[in-house]
Amino acid sequence: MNRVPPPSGALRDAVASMQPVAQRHPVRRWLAAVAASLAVAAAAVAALGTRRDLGELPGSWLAAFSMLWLLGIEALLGAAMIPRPGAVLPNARRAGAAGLVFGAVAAGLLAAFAIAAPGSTIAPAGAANVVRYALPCIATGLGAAALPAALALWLTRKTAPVHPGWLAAGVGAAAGAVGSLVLHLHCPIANADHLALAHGGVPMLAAAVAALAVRFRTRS
Amino acid sequence: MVSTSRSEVPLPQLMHRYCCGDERAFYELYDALAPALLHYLIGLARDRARAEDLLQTTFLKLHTHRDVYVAGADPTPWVYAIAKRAFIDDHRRRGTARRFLARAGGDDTSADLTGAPADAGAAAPDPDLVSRAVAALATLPRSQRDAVRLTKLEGLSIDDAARAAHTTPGAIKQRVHRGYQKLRAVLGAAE
Repeated sequence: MNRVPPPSGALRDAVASMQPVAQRHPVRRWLAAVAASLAVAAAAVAALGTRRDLGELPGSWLAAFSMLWLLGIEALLGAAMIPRPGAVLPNARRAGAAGLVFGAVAAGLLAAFAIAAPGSTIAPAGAANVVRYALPCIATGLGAAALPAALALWLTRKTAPVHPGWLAAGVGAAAGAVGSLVLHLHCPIANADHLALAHGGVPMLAAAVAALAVRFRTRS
Repeated sequence: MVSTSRSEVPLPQLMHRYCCGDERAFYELYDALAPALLHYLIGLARDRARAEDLLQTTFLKLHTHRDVYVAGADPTPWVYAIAKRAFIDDHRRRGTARRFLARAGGDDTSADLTGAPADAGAAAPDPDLVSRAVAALATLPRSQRDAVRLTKLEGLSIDDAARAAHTTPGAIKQRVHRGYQKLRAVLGAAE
């Protein structure tokens, strides 16, 4: 059997001078992150304005995709912040994978169920227009995702000693869903390719940006 | 099933007492987790001395991150995750140091480290001198060794090194300066 060295002097000193600390409440943190995300989404839609074809689109379609993004925000933040019962840490790889799967599925659903209101919805044709109209939407979506991502990353700090990039991807995808929700209620462009690329792509892009940022930070 | 310590106190209970500031709970937790953790770290590091250092690092990190603990949870998988992170960080730091020594060209940091005057145009330093410099570095007090390592081996700025060492830039400059003085004294005495 290995003989175990006693705690070092530095460790003994640290323990001798310790103060009581509050234990983490993951559900409270999750609620705070969800509430902040919804507040940011509401503020962004209020600032940018609602889409001009809002009144002409089927209410069920608007509600269904709004619910999809809301569900994404809650479920992905839950996967990244709430550990299974009896565990201290969330499953970082599962959170990241869930974020990427959610982004891909949401983009596919948007492309499959694209709906336009003739006369009000913008539907520019041509490949060049796809990129031209996508870039501002992606920038807006990522902008709306920045604050929720920063807050959720701060709330999940120290909870992924290993695979921090995966956890950040999950958090980033959840924040990206905030951006997509804002675009869903603001942007009147309704081509299937625009919806899939610009609106559906924001969670994937936000996941990649968050994962790279955290990996860079943990390596530097 | 909830893990227990040698004294059959469940680990979640020990961890709870530890978070509440009970010093004895820490030592009971150490006794319960350290033997298996050391075995795990020896398996990762394949070097007992390094594994023992990593064990101390793991418990220091556990101490500073104890606010992450969730009441009632088994801390064992979390402590192993911290140990793995400590190993990965140490592995990367060693890789950086190895690359620095392998590079060991005429950059002024190696000249500074060996105590010789900086000369960007000089040939690669004597490998024996470099190895003696690294050995001399190990004789420095920890605060000075860390300051020299962060600024010269890992290439951090004074401000970044201060943040990494949780101190002020002024303190880092002073530690680096004193570290250099001791390195020069040790290397000079060895010649």
